[in-house]
Amino acid sequence: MNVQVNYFGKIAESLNMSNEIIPISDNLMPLNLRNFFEDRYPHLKESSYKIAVNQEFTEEIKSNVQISEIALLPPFAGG
Amino acid sequence: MLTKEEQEIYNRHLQLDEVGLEGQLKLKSSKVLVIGAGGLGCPVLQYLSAAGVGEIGVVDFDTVDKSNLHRQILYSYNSQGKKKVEESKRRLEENNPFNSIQTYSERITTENAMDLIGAYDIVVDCSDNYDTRYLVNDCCVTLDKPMVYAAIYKFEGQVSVFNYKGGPTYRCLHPESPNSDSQENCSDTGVLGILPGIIGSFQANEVLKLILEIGEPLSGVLFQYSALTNRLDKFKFTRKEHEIYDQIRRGELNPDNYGVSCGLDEIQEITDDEFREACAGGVQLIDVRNLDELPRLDHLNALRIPLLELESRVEEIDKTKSTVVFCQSGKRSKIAIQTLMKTDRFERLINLKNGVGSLEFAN
Repeated sequence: MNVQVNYFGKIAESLNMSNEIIPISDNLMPLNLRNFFEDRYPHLKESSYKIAVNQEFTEEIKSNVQISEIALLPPFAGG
Repeated sequence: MLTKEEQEIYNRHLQLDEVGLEGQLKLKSSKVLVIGAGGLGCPVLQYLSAAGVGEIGVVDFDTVDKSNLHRQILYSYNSQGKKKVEESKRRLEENNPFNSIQTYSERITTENAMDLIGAYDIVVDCSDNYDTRYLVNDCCVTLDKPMVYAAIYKFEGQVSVFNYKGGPTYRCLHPESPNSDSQENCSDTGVLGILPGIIGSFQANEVLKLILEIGEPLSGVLFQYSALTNRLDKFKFTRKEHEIYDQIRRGELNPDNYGVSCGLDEIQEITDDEFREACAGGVQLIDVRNLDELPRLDHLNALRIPLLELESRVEEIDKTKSTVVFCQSGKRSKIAIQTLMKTDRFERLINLKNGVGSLEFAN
């Protein structure tokens, strides 16, 4: 399936985009998302971030889940 | 009770079924602590004060800088160089003389955090660095106080309510402070001036909802906003316990867990061997540990000024000498150097990188 992935803050800056469509094959399930994104973008290994699927924080996609969007969200400190 | 004049001021609140006299009295009897009187703190303080929150505490050690003025709208051009807490109090009392503003012109540390937070009902985290955020969160969890959190980065901001009626906490989002790579914040990052105004207003709104017990607080929800796209997201998360909460409940609030602040990377540091040479060469030594910490290292003849006393005892330090500052792990001493650099010009300030805890010379 094709999944919309949204990037925030410094993650978006380091990738030079705020979103993209990524094809995720059903036969990858269950999928460890952190490994998936760090294989795709190795520099993410150096960053702190949370992953959300359908607006809920998680690390993994289980099989048979319909995914409308994924988000990668780094912590912010500024005030 | 509200005076006739208060009834006039809060008239538009009193007309709301969701607030009314009962709600306004709840606001009047509530005590809210605002940590940080910067970009987020300014709108939060203004709206809480205007809304009639009876007692507002404001914690900030900083003074107003010219570069604050584009977003910290409590301060005027003439506020430059003045203490933020004092300028805040003056301006808030002009706007609403019917509530009480307590000021704390100090850095929040493991020494004072429990007492400060313990004296209030709700804590608003408007700080600008991870260490303060973790310290405030950990104290709120162990003292069972709700914490209204917000943070910003360039054009984006986020808001959440932590530890509300046993709900999720900051450490349920990010269990540990990010690595130094992610620490760029504070003065060296640009930010759109209006962003903290928007995000701080959301934050103040959450505070009012908690006090008034109306609506749906952002408990277990991270609200995320982008000023460039007007995109709004609400990410859900759940409560997870963290071992540090039990440590603190046992009375172990360790300063070294909250040592590294932002903007400290340029500070010159030395390691054990260089430290030994520096001691032999007769540099000035400052020990910022508490007086009961071991090893005592009396033979070093260091000036012993615990971090909390540093600002009031700065005159004891010879500013013309090269000075090595140390603590147990090298973190508090970094903060000490940052504090000293803000107060005056020193010939040379050097941090003992890993502190005296790992030092191999008890001789």
